Amino acid sequence: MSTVEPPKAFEDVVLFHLPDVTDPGAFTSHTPLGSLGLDSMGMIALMASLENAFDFTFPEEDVTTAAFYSADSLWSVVSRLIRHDG
Amino acid sequence: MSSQARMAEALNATLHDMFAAHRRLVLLGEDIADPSGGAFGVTRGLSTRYPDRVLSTPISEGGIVGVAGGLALCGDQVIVEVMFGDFLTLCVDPIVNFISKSVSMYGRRNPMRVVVRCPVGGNRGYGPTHSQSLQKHLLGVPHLRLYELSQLHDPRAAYEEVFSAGEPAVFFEDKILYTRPVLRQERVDDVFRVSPVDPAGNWMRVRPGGAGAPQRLVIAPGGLVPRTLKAMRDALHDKGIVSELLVPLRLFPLDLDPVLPMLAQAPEVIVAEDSVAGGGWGSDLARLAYERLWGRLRAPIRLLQPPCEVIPAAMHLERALLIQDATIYASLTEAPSMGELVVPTLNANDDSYVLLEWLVPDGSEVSAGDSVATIETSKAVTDLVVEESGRLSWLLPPGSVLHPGDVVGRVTTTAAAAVGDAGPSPAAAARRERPAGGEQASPAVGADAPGGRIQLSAHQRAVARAVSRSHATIPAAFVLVKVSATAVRHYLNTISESAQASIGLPEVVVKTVAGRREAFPDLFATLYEENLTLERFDHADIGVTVDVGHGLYVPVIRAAENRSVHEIATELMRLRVRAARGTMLESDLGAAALTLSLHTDLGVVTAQPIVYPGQICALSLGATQQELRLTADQQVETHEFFYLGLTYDHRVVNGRQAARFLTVLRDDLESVSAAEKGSS
Repeated sequence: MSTVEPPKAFEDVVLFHLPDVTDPGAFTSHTPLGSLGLDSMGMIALMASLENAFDFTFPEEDVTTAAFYSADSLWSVVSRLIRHDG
Repeated sequence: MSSQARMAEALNATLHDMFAAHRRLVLLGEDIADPSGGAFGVTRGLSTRYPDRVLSTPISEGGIVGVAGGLALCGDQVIVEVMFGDFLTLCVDPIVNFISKSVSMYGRRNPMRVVVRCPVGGNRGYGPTHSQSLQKHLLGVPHLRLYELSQLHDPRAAYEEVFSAGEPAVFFEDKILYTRPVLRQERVDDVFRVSPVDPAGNWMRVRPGGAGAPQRLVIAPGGLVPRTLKAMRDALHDKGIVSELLVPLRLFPLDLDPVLPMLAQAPEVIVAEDSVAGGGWGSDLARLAYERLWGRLRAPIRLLQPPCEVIPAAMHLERALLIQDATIYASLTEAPSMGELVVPTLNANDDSYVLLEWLVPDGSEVSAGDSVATIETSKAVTDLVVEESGRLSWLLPPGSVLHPGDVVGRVTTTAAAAVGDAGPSPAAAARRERPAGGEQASPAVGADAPGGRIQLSAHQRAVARAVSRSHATIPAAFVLVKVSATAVRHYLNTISESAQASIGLPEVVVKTVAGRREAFPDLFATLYEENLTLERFDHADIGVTVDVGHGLYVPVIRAAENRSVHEIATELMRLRVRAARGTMLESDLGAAALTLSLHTDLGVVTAQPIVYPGQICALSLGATQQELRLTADQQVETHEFFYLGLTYDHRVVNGRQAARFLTVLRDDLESVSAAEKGSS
């Protein structure tokens, strides 16, 4: 993957939307977000939070179940969009 | 009657026939006796044959009509010829205050068989006092009927109608017609065909033979037939414009019923009359048509009348004032084409919508394809697009409640707009200025209303109507099952990992429900209230509630039985994004076979959804919860479960059937496995 490492801010935003993560230290970027309590509504809320935090807009076609599979998959999409928008 | 016969001859023959048939018929008038036989020769020969019943009178129109009234009171039938219709004004007192009233004012029905004939109309150079068309002044007198001579009608029908009804009448005869041919055969000429509209033949219709639907419908009394037919012929020849003419024999009381369907279908209706502007027969006809056809007329009715001026003595000035064939030709050919902006049927659940806002000002130029207004349904906001270029007129203000088929605006095609590549229209500009991603869907609470109250948003008002209708019309019952989440959890983990995608419980429930449509077809159906009939869906089109804080939407997953869980998840994700962005399309919504209502917020045990009007049932999915339970070997374990509820229309579904549907779904969900459902 050609993406740079996600910034701390990204991880903070994602963690905020994971109700089942009690120990942030145990969170890994490849853990399925669904297993950490992120449901479909949570994905839309996370999408909005990321757009606010990084000042970009998700095109509809990039908001996919694959993108929200893990923090890694999400960052690969977000980082590409930030580069485009920025 | 030969088609070569002239109208004066036809009228004369009619009067001779009437005299032969009615032994108590009397004719009074100035100079009606032979040898003159009336100013236009219509009564020629009558005084010779019936000298005791055809009497020339002194020049006193009021006196003549008064005598006619006296004779009618004694049981005679009377025809009066007033030499020029302009002098009808002298007869108004006996007609209005004596003859017409006498029909009923003595406490019993008193037949008054009087017909006042009068030549009317201009274009003969007779000046201000011998050219008028005063029909409008006698409209709406109780018991007084008004007829107008026409080449298309048998005049005897008017006389016989009057004499059998026992009500007096005025028979207006455009003097131009006397030398015109009778047109009562089907073929008027090489172009036009004539046919009766109603069995009585009161309405006659003239149209080009073999032509399709008309672009213009002209309604005119008989005096305008020659001018109208010439205009219609020229418009057809020059511009290919197909028009039809409707002519009534009786002007008042006006019976529009037989012609209403033609008015409703015509792209444009033109009503012409010779009485000068300011009230009149055409105005009254238009009012009746608006009352009967409001929302169905395809364009405003156009009235053609001379301006409210004295008819000039100079013939060229008279021609300029009165309606000519060129006047009618102009309105047939240059009439603006009015495009209607009609409210389409946007979904199956709503019978009304709200006109949220106009995107362009009233009267502005728009181009075909422009979005000009937004309409809110109970579920979405959609754009209304114009199909032609021109000038847009608002017909309804923002906030109006709309029904499918309503006309909210009109686009008038103008020369400028038709050429119009001068630049982007205001509508296009307005569209570009809307925020990227479109307007945000309305929140539930809108603008401040007067008096410190808060007005619900249009979207929420639409939701309110659907909810109220559900509660008011659907006797609903509710049943609930508890479902173990163990198998589903395992299944979700497996397919999410295999697809490298985040797939959740709602999409599995959608897929599971869809898989049971064939076993429970009556639950996937539309109910028609009026006769309690069901129409089953051919596919499991499942509505799923989506509320991401901008109002409730119920988009539909179409044919969910043919989609994988992963595909359903992808589709739901797309719809949620659209709900959040306010970009939901009507095509995303549409009719659902049933609805899955999601209540998966943490800690929500269950919720009882409404049944959307038209549907049979709604499922509700609560949040996943944990409990401690004893295993078979008496060990305590943590166990996940959720509740699945079903609200159902108790008229269609019985409790046992509802419970069976839910328990089957529960068993499916508790035994779901990746091998069975597949993930891609």
